[in-house]
Amino acid sequence: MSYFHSVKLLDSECKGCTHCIRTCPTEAIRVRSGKATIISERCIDCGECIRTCPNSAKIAVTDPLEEIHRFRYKIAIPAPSFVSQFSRRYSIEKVLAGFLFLGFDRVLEVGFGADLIMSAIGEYLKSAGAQLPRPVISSACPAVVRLIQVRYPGLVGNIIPIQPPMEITARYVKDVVMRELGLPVSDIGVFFITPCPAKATAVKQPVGTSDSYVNGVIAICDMVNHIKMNFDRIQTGSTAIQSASRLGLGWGRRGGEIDGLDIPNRLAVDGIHEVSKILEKIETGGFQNINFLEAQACVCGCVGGVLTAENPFIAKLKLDIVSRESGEGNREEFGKARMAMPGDAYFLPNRIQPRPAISLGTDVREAMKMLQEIERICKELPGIDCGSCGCPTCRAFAEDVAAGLMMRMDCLFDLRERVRCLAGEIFSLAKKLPHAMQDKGGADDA
Amino acid sequence: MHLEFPVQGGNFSGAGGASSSIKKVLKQLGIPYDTLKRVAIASYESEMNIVAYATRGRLLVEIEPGEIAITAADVGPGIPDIEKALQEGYSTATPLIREMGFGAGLGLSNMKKAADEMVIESVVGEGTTVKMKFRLS
Repeated sequence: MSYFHSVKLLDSECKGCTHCIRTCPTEAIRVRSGKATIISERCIDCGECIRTCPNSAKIAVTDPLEEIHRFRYKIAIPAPSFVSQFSRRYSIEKVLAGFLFLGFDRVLEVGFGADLIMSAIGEYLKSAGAQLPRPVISSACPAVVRLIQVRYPGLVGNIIPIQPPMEITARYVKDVVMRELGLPVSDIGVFFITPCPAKATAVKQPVGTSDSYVNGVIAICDMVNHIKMNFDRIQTGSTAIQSASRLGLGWGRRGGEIDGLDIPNRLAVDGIHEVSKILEKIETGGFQNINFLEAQACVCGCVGGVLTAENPFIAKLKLDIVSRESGEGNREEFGKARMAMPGDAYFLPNRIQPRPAISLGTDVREAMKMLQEIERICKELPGIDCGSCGCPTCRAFAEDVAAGLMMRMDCLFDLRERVRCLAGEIFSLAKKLPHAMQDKGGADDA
Repeated sequence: MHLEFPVQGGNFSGAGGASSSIKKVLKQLGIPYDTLKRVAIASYESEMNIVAYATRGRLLVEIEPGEIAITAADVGPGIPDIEKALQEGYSTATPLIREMGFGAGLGLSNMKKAADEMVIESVVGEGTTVKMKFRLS
């Protein structure tokens, strides 16, 4: 199967430095022939490389605003983290109205869908509770879901089989528009305003379902620019805007998911490397007392996504303020939505499958042979993970050599050692004089 | 194939490294997930037992296409009453070990549950060897 990725490399900008190879949580990047290359099977589109690249050579491909005109009726569904991107001088009412100014016909915050999902998660945990493997892991962060598929495939069964808020929101608003305006579904374009490339990938190639209800994805930072540039011309007062509740908006930061869950022993973790550490522990039987794990790839949660514009900590503070002010949201509308949504709408139709990109082969014997070779090479390497070979660690280099992708001499230390041996040999050969010259001095030490 | 990992007694902060390496190797070998999970749990518990109770020890891993054997051998105080030690909730952990979040008395029973076969040999004052076998499902 081929994998879609919204994280791409701009070859022209890449200097072949090795910053990105070290921060990649799945060791998916190698520097080859002076340029970084991404191993598609391993990449989870978390965007850590975008964050790290000093040359802006890693980018996330999202849709430009003009894309919305492919549809007759255009709907913006901004992520809960969206409103966190504006300082006090921008009123949130006007910020959301900005979407209408820019050509959208309707706005519904994804926090609204999060609100709907919270009760679905609560009910699922209560009804299926006892049989579920512990801890149950949230499915909301697509980078974490992919991290589990690739690096912790044994834990895919722990992921709660519930749709992410973005999908529920898109499905709900499409249904409403079709019903109210009698438009065919092909005329309606739902655009998710995303904090991260992982969500863009989740729309193009969703996990656990075949099709997304979302038609396009626009980066939060792009949208923030468009709205700020036109801010003075934005009119408020439209009824086509629907905001989320306090709890729904909370999903934009770490802890928001578990805040709305009425179950004991919940844990929220943020930052992909910290999430990895927790998942390692779960694999060895840890955290069995935790009922629900909220895991977010970005520091502070979605407010820390690579496609946001504001510092994550400032954005989190801002989101806390905005969500406090939004109170319980429109409960009447929420009640209607609860009734309108069929019960199975919340569940992923297909099982989440492992994506084992780490195994060395399908045959255990073959894999064992390769692993022995890897262990042997590893022992000869300096073990300092310098990155000069373009691999993230000496062990990753050994794996690539064993797989025939690299040569032993691609290790600088090995190359240098060989040069040293060769130099020694040349030196000793140079000292060997022809017999005719030996009595003219220099032969004593030969 | 054969792998060996040394484990230092009393080193709580570095604990878990050996079982983590074993887990990584098994993933690379493409071992089925349910076996992987059982081996991961058992090797982690063995490692923690060495860290919590012994002076030093080793985890030995023997991988055959149909079976994985883990042996946890330590130099330490030994187990005076193996049957009792296998009881869930029974522990000889010191207050210090409990303070570190270990010593709930589940280690050996979790290992026994995870493994298809488990044999414990122990000499008081010398050390303990736990041999476990896991059949590949």
